[in-house]
Amino acid sequence: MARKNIYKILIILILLLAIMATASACQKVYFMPGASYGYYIWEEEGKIHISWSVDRKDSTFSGSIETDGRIKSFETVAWEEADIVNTGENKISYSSTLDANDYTDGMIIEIVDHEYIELDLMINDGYDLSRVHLGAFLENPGDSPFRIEKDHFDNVSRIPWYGRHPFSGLFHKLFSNKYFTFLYIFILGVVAIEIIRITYISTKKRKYLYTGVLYIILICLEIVVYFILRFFVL
Amino acid sequence: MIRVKNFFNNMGRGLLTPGIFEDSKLSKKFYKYFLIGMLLRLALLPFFFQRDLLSTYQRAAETVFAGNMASDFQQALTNIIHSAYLFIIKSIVPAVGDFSPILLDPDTWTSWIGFVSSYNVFTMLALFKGLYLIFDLVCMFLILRLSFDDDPKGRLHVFKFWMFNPVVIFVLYIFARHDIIGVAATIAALILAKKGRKYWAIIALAVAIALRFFPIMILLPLIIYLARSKKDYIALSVIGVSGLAIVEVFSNVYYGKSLIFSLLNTQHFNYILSAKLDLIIHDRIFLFIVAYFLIIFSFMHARKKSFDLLLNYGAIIYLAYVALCYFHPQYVLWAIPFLVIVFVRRRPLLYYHWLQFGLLMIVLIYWGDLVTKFVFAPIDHRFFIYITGPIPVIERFYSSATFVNIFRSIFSAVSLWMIYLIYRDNRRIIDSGPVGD
Repeated sequence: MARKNIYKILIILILLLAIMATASACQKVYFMPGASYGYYIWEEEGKIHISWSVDRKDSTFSGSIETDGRIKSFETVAWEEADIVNTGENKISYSSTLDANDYTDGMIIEIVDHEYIELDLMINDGYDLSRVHLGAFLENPGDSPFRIEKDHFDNVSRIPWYGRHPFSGLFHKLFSNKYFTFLYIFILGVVAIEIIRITYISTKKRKYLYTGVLYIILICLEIVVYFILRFFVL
Repeated sequence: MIRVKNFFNNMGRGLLTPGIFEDSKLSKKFYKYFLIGMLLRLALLPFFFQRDLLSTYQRAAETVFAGNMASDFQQALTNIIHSAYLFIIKSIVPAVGDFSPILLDPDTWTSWIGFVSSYNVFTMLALFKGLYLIFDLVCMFLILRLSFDDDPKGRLHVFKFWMFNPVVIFVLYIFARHDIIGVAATIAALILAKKGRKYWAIIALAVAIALRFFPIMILLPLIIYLARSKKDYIALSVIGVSGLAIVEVFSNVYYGKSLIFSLLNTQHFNYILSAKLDLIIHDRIFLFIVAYFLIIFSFMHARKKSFDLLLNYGAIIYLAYVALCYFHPQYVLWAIPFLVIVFVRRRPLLYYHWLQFGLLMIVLIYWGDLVTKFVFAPIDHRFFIYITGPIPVIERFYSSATFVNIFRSIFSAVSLWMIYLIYRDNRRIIDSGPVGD
C-alpha cells in the first residue's frame, strides 16, 4: 500500500515536471486573441509573424517594420477595411484598430538578404515595450524603435526552460537569497524525513541507519540545489 | 532525567489531550497529520500573498517606523498585534528594517511592485505570514478541545480536518489574511463557554469582536447558551458588547472619532445587508437579518441546548452569511472551527465543503487580478503582471460576471444544503440519537 502511494506520488511529480518543461520549451509565443494584450512576434518557416491583440477594448496598433534587406512577400491577417498598410521594398507602415468585436490583426512577412529588422511598434500612439513579445513571452525589447538580428528567434528558442519566465524569476530570487533558500529547504527536508521516519522507518530494525542516510541525502540535495542555481540557472 | 521525561509527558498530554496521548496508535497518527499539515503550510509560506497582507503590515509599519498609532483605528487591536510582531521580527532580522521605505510608501501600486520585486521577498513573506502560522498552531491545539471529550478518535478527526482544511490553508498561506487571530480568540471563548466559565467566555468573545467584527454573529447564541437567569442575560450582553464599547470609547478619546459609526458606514457592514427584498417605496427586507433571527429563535426554542448544538448553530450562522451575503473569500474561514466538528459526525458534509471550496476558487475571480494572478507575483512579478488574467479569458467567450454568478449561485445552494444537513444533525443531538451516518 505504502509503496503504491510512493509510485503514485512519483508518477505525478514526473508528469508535472514533463508538463512544465514542455510548456516552457514551446517555440511559439502563444496568445489568446481578444483576451491577451500586446504584440506577439515569432518566426515560422522563414517568415516573420507579427500579431497584436487586446482584451476587447478599442485600441489602435500602429508603427513600421524596416529592414536592410528586401521584403519578398507580405500578407495581412484578419485585416479589416479601416486598417491601413503601406508597403515598400524594405519598409512597411501600418495602422490598425481593434475593438470589442475585432480581436486581433496581424501580418506575415518574408524578408531576404537582411542582417536586421527594425521595428517601431506602438499601442495607442505610445510605447509599452513589456507588451512586445519577441519569440517568447516577456522577451521584450529594451528600447524603441528596436532591431532584431537575423538569428534572434533561433537564439530565443535555444533558451532552456529554466531561463524562461516564470522559472527564471523564481530561481533568481532563490539564489539571490540563498541563506533563506537553504534554511527553507532544510526545514522542509527535516519535516519530510520525519514523515518518512514515522511512516516507514520507525518499525524497521536499522531505523537509525536509514534516518541517517535520509539526512545525508538532504545535505547532498542542498549541495546539488546550490550548484544547479549557481552554474546552470544564473 | 525522569523529571525531564515527566515534563515532556505532561506537556504532550496537555497539548494532545490525554485520550490521544495515551493511545500510541492515535498519538502516532496525530504526529503524522501534524507533520504533513505543517509540510503543506511551510511549502506555501514564502511564495504567495494577496495585496491586503502588505496593507496590513504597511499600517503596522506606520506605527513601528513612523510612530503613528492611528494608522488603523478601525482594527486597532489587530494593528497592535501586527505592530508588536513587526517590532519583534525587525529586532531579530535586520533585513525587515530595509523594507521600511517600501512599507511606508503610500502609493499602493509602487509599494506592491517594490515588495514583490525584492530579491528577499520570500524571506519577508515567510516572516509576515509566520504570525498567522503561530495563531494557526494555537487554533489546531485548541480545536481539539471543543468536542468529543470521551472519544479520542473523534478528536483526532477534528484535528485532521483542521490540518487539511482547504479553506484554512488557502486563507492563511495563499491569501495570507489575518482572520485567524480573531478565530483563535473565538475558539478560546467557546472552550471557556464549554467549561462553564460564562463571564470569561463572553470577555474572550468581546476581545474577538474587537479583533474582527464577525464573532458578533455568535454573541447572541453564546449568551442564550450560557445564561441561566435574567440577570445572566443582562450581564453577559453588557460584557459582550463591552469589547466594541471599550474600543469605541478609546477611539473617541484617542483618535477623536467614532469607531462604530465608521464601521457602520464602511462597505463591509453593507455586505451583511447586501441580500434584500425590495417591497415598495422605502420598505425593504434584509434577507440575512431575517435568516439570522430565524436561526436564533430556532436555537432559543431548542429543547436541550448542549454545547455541540451551539457549535452546530455557529456553523449554520456563518454558512447562512456566505450563502446570502456578499463576502470576501477569507470570511469562509469563520465557519471552519464549527464545521470541522460536524464533519466527524456527518461525513457527507466534508465532501460538500470541498465542493464549496472548489466553487470559491471560481467565485474569487470576482475580485480580478488582485486575488488571482497577482497572488503568485512574488515568484516572478513581470510574468504574473503581464500574463492574461482569468477575466479577459472568460470575457472572450461569455460575460465574466454571469459566469461567476452561476458558480456563486451553486456555492449558495451548496451552503444552504449544508445548513439543512447540519439542521438534521441538530435533531440527532437533541434526541441524543446514535452518532454516525
